[in-house]
Amino acid sequence: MRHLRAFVLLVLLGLVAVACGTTVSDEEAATELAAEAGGSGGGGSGGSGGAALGSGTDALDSGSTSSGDDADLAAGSGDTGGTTAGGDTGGTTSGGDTATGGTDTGTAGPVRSAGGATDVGVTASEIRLGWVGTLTGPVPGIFRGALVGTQAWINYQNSQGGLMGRQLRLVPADDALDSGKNRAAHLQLKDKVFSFVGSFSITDDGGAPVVTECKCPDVSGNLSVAMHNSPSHYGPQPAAPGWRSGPPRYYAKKFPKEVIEKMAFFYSQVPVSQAIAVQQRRVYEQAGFKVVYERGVPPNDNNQTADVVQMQRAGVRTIAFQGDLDTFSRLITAMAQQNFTVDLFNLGNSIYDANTFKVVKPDQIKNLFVDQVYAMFLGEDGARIPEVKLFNEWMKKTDPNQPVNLFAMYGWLSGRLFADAMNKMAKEGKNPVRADLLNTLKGWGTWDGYGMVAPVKVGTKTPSDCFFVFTSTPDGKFQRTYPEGGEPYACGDGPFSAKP
Amino acid sequence: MDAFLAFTVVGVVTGAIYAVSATGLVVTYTTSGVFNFAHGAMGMVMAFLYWELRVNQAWPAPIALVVVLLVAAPIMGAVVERLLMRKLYNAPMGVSIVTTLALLVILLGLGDSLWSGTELRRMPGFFAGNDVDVFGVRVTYHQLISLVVAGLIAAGLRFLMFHTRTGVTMRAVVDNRDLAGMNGVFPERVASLSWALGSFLAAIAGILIAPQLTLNHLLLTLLVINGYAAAMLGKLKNLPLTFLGAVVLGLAETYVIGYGGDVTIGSFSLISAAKVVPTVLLLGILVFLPQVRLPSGRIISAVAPRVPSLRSSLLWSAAFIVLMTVLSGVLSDFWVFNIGLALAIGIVVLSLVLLSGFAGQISLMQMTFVGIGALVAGRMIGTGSIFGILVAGLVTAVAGAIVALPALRLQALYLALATFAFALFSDWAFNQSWGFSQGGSLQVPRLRFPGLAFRSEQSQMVLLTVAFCIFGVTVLAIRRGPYGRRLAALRDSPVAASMLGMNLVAAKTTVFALSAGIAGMGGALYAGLQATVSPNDFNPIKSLFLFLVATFGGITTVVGALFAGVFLALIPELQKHVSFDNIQYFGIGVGAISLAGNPHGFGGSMSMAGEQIREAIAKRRHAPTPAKTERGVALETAS
Repeated sequence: MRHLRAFVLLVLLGLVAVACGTTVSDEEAATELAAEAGGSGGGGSGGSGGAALGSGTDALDSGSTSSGDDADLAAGSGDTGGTTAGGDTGGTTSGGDTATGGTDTGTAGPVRSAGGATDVGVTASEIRLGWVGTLTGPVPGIFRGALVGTQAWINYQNSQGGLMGRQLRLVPADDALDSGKNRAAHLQLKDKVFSFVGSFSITDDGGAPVVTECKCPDVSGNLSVAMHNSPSHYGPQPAAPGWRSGPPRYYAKKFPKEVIEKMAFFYSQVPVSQAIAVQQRRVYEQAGFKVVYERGVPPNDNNQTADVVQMQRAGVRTIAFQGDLDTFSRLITAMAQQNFTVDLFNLGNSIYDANTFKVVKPDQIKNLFVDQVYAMFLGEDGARIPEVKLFNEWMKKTDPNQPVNLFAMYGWLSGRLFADAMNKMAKEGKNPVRADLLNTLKGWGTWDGYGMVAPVKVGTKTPSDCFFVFTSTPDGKFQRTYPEGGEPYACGDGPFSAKP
Repeated sequence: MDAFLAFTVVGVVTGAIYAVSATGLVVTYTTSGVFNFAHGAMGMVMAFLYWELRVNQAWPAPIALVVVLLVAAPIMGAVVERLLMRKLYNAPMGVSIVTTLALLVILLGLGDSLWSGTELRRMPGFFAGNDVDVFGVRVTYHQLISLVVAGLIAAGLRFLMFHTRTGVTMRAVVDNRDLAGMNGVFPERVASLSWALGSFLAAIAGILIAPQLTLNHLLLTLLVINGYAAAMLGKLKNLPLTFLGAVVLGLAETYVIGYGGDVTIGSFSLISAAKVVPTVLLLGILVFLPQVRLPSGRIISAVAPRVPSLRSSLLWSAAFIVLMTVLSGVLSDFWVFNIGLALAIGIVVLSLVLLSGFAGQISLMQMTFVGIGALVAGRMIGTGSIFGILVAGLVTAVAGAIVALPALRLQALYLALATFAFALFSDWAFNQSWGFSQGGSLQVPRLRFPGLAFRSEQSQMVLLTVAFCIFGVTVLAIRRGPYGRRLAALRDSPVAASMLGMNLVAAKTTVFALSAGIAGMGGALYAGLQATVSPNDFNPIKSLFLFLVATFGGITTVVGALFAGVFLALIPELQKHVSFDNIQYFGIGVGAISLAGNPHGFGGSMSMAGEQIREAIAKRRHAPTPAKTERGVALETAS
């Protein structure tokens, strides 16, 4: 009996030892941090971020592991010192109540700050930033774009001299599309990084209590209400419960009554979309729309033809649908098959994707109207908004194989917002300290990502009430239709209507 | 009337999709004796292969079709038969269920590894752009082809099965393999042919269905579940009835979309339930229609590992608690949280030990009970208190008893299907506004006593260790007692147990309730550990994973439950350190397939190895061993 117990105990201890062996203690992390800081100029810092990008391995645990991709990423951070700073693009950035308003913080160049290791994740030469998102799990790589977008910003920022005289380094962690793992990833990084930047996950509700408790700044695109409500979280386009009243009011003015009073209202039957749909429907109905057919479309639905028959029966002339591209494509195909068109085909932003015309024939989409609060980041707005060009350039330099997508844009913009807040702190003579960063973000007024997003109120987490509208062309392109005067966004149609 | 005709046309076309997959399922079962849960996954892989050749490599459609249908698919079927199924001919039905579920998981991983799930793909239909008008509905040539092919398959296969020598031989091998062999049949060859045919039919289904969806691994794999109801209506052998069932299914679903919007109860509209029509029909068919008798569903061998004594379990528990308490103070928050997660999952697996390991009842919905427990703990009275956890256990126990009602007359395969149908239904319910609420996630506070709150990760780890030990000791105590012996009898021979006067209804109902209660309390603790939970945490695929890992972890032992918890909690961490995608799918799949060669799983093997060491040591000392007595108990149980 004693031998058996000893045997099992040994096995258990062995397992624990294995587990401990893969853990990085604070001491080890500090050693690693110091070693990397020593060579963190340009390529060094990019390389570490690239380690995570290349193989999905956690840079914290894998140390200096590097793959072929990593080398490319690293090169990206060091070889482009001459690139024009995005801030020259005339974006409006205001420091809110406490800062002078104006258009100055586009310059990404360094504003020096003293202080050495001023807070967690900060040394005299480096600031460590955390990123949590979905890289593995049921849909491996689904939010990899957000990681590459964040890394692209870091590479760009480092090429401009970093922030507060320090180079930036990204430490990514994977949540495998699981809220428990999201919590674990935040726990893993909270004592090792200064701030979270660019994180992107539909399970970010898992990490919300962690960033709240540790008062760790999180500058990211949130998807859950829990993260939105966290006092530690600020984003480049907050996803607050509610809906913009501007677009439905604009459509109500543009289309006659008989069109807007025959609306089919679709939404994806997944929790996040359902929550959005309730708010969207409320605001549309307030603008005069009347829903004559409503359906939550489950992800495995294969019966869109029945929906089309039902819409024909109900005389539908407007469709509003917030969903994913996959579901959109099935509805569009079914509509085309039945030769059914509507006057106002108002789809959600997921339709704006580089893959759209690979899964949908351009001539199948008729009368498309999409209202959007961020620039046409795939490149159409490159001439109008230089930040779009800058973003695309650095995405290509960071990882040419990563398609530019919405997640990448959020990663980039999160970084830009973080940089602006840090630069403002530096100008005020502050050091990189978490509490100061949170106060700065809390007091921040309007921010527009150098034109890449419609202006948002960062400190109050109020989404933009501005938007623009685009449509698709028969040759498979997206084209702006409103506002007509060349302005990137229309802001006077109606306010953001928060959840009552 | 026009609308009704239009919906009828749409319904028949939709039904044809289900018919193609359902008939393939029935043929595979009829000719191999195995209900192939991986039928949809095999079709999915072949559909992707066809896309690869036809779209990505731009091969002409006829050549791509020949290569996929006549070469790749039959080879895949024959390989599956040779490597996996041939070992199962004398295995209990439960082992074949586990094996085909494992194959499903492996193929899902393979599909995603070969064709990344993040890329959207569209498969063109046959004769794209051509259609005909039927009662105002434009039916594409592709849909017509699907309908015709489904009908031809049903008619042709019936002819093959009952009017050709090959078909009779296939059925003969399933009926009595040895007798067929004595009459000059080569059972292995016939079985290979059967699986090649099944794979061929799966490929046809995949290729016909894919253009009507987007090319998505999970959608294509799980769409076949809609065909289960039709297959069950045909009692797994009647192809015309299966075809009819599929059409009825398509019609029912379409009519719900067409007219369900007019049927509302409060905020609930029947149209929102269109997705669960096939699930509800499957449950109805399983419960209310008489089914063909199938072999027993035991998923472990008759000889169970030794059950530790109360003294031994208490000593081990105490040592485990001490060890975990020490570790909680040494490890980082990250690892402490992950170990807590492993323990919480371990508690849920203990509920399967009781239900499947001791009582032989298969459940593919255990994570649903966990979800109910989490929901109760997060939304109802007593949130954050021990009272809340007990209420969660009570409510899920009642839910378990309700599930037990249809389970009373179901065994093995039917029970697996019924519980999976419950899981699918619950997944839909969790996503409704009256489930986890719109927005999805639910915040669940951590347990607190007056003056003592388990807020930190460390205290959660210790709490879960204590809870795991309490549940473990309780489950083992149940096994040692008279109730546990009744459960063993229920598992080994329900008929014999009934003849001896045992109340099977009471035994099944109580074990389902107890198991669900444990899972529910585990769910409350799991939710408290995570702090926030969402329906995604309890989706049906996770129930499949849990069941598979529990079986190869060792579904009769507490060590096996702990192993399963550790495996499920930590394999995502392992994935981060290897460049090979989908290690979770492959790990679970391969592990579960190994069950055929190791029916006790990891926990059982450890337990038996320990027992052998003890016996060897005792022999060396020439002393009588208490182990012999315990082994005697095990043999007594087995008999």
